[in-house]
Amino acid sequence: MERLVITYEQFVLLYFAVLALTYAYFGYLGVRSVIVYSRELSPLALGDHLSRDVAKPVSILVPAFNEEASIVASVRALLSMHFPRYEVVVVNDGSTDSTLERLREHFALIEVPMAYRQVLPSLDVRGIYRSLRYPNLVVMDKERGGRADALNSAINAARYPLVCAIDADTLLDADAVLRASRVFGEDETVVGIGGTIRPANGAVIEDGRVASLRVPKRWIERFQVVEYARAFFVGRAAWSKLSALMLISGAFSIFRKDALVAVHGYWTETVGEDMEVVFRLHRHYRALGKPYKILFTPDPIAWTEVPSDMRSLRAQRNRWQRGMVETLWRHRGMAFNPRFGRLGMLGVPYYWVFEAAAPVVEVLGYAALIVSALTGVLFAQFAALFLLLALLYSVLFSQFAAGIESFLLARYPRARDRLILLAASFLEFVGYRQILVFERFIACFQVRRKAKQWGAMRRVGTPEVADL
Amino acid sequence: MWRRYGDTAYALFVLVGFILQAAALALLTWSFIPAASGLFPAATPGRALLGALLLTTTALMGIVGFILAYHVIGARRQARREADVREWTERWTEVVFGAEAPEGPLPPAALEGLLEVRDKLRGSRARAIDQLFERYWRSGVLIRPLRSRRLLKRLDALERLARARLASTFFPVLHETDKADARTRAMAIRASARTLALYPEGPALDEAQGAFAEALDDDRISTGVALEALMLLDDACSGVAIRLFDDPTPRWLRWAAIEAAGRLERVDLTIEIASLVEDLDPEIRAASLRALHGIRTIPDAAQDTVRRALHDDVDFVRVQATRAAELLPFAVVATRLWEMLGDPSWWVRRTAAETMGGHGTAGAAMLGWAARSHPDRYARHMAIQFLFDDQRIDLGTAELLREAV
Repeated sequence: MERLVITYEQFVLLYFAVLALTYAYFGYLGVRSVIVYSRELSPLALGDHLSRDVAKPVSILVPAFNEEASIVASVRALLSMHFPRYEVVVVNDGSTDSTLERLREHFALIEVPMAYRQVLPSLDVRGIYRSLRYPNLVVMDKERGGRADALNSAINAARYPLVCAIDADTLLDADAVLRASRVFGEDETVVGIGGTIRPANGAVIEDGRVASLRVPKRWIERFQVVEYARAFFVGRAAWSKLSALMLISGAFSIFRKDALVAVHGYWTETVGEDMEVVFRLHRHYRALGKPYKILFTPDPIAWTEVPSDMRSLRAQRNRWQRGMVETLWRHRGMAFNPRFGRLGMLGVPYYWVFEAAAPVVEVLGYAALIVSALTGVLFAQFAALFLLLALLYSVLFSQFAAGIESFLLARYPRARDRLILLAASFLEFVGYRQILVFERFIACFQVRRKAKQWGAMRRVGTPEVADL
Repeated sequence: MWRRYGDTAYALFVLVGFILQAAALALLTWSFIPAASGLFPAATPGRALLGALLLTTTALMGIVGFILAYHVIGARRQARREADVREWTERWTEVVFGAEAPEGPLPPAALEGLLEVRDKLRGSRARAIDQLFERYWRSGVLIRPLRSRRLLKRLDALERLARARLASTFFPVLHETDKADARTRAMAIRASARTLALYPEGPALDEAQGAFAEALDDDRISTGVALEALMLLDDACSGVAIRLFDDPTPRWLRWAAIEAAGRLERVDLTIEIASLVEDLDPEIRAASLRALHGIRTIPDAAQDTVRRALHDDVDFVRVQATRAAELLPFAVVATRLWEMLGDPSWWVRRTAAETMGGHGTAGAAMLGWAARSHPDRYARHMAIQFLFDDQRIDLGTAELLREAV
């Protein structure tokens, strides 16, 4: 037993070393890509692109299930974007609250007979509505089929060659779609792009846009500010740079419509449809032998309301973990498969070992610590120093990402905010992290039992949204 | 949008942080290999762990210190710089309108201020600014960073040159379109296009346009970038586009040239574009028909060609031909449009209805008639749908007509 515990502790040490080194390297790649990107897409280039009207038109797809608190503000913000040609397709996915009524009332919707080709299977559409005020707004009312099914319905009705899938509570920067769509024009091999998602909690919202930033009041939200910065500015940017991006967040993603149709749209049997569709796109284009790119660009930026209570947050992380395991399992043939290049040899194995298995390794690590303490083989001083080292590494990576965020014009402006975020990156290690790791650990064993279960999230709504 | 100062220094800090971590982790891992202890006895696990802690703390303090300093100092510095640029912008504006020019050498904010003014002025005033650039910075100062090995420096220089739009910098910038890096190529193409758009008239213009057309003919440039560059040429587009209409030019570039000419409404290219309506390539046929529709002119000699295009075998060409038919006399196309309402392609039927709708009262009357008595069921449906979408009939009437159909 003692030997087993010591061997496991050595394994944890090695695991930690590889992970820490990878993160540090990713931090550097992330910074580099942001710096080049900021030159490449200057205000001058963006202005030229907008004024010459060369952007490809986009259909923005908004699946909505019980979103009465935020749907009107979201759609209103979407309808006032800086983009020459786009439409907004809202899908009311069998809401049981007043989502559809609120849309009807605010946008003067009338039911219209509308013909479209059903290229992707989806549940029955009960009605299609158009706005008397906004010609580029379409609302579909359909049977409850989940986010993936709602997106498939919206793709069927979408008119334009690019489709942008967002969450109903997502607020986009005014020129977010312009920035993302520009990449498709520059490089015809690009099939999908993900942008940065940032928590809107605490932000001041005016006319559906984030006008200024304040660090949220609750620590649980502050921890998520740090987490999101780390995930997007460091993780996604690096994988994109390595041409092995495996996840584009469902809260904001743009794809070529023909690419999504070619892979038969979103898979409805998973709760991780955003990750799964990216895997299928990789497989599809690799099989065809066609050059393609799936990219992350750090700016466009989308804002989302992150959970502000532990119950919602645990449900969300549980779902993310299950979605990831489902996807990895479904595409297990990609791991260590040289046919997929860096993706197969590096990306997918990394996700298996350092993402899907991470909560298991960590929870067992804590268990080993307790067992070794009980059996008297724990070197208390060494264990304490090791935990301190892990804490410092975690804070360091968070600060790498926080540093990148500092270069954004829309950043947390006050030095006090920086100190709070610094404190958050220390404090998340005490309790918060362990609770979520344990939730993800549990989720690993619930993949089958809780298949297709999303779990509810309590939405507070940003202050302005609540006023509407 | 991003702050573009201090970022390279930050990248350096992160790189140092990464190296410190690599060293710390190497030390720690080394200390756990029993066989290694003989080689480096000082590296016991405990000491290695302390060393790793020390190195990580150092890296962390460096990064945190940088971020806090960046916030405090950077914000002040940026505010001061913005004020300086504003002041110089005002000063240069006065100079352009007759005030006395300042004595050199000038601070960096002066260059930034002049670039601000440059982007807003055209014609003789713009030429006065060219002289100011030459006097204070000579184009060599703007061009020199292009020779740098650092990508960021080159990209910054290309952006400045795109804003300066100096004729004397055109060829050096165009030379950058040959670089291996895709970002440099795209930025150089755009910077050259912006410069060429304001290129002075004269024999050199012809040479510059020829060189630009040649630079675009490069497989490494995407259609989107070529199209944007051609659009950035504004009035100078014709001189470049006409060189790209000919057959040896790759199809994607011909398409971009026709598309740009159409979007920029280059009336002077109507005859050349009309001659492409019967090209062998359907993409080119469709693009030229769309361009003619964009220019809103079909030369008399090309009217029969457009009418023939209404019978094209390819549906997307028929769509564009139907759209262009809006510019032909209704009497000439009415019968064909009536037939096209029953076309097998939904898009052709829809465009036929829209074109009829665009032909005023006569077109609308024909649509109303088609909604009731067109022999093709799909044509009747399309006519009803269009009349409803165009708010010419209400929902009740549309439902009644549909039931009758």
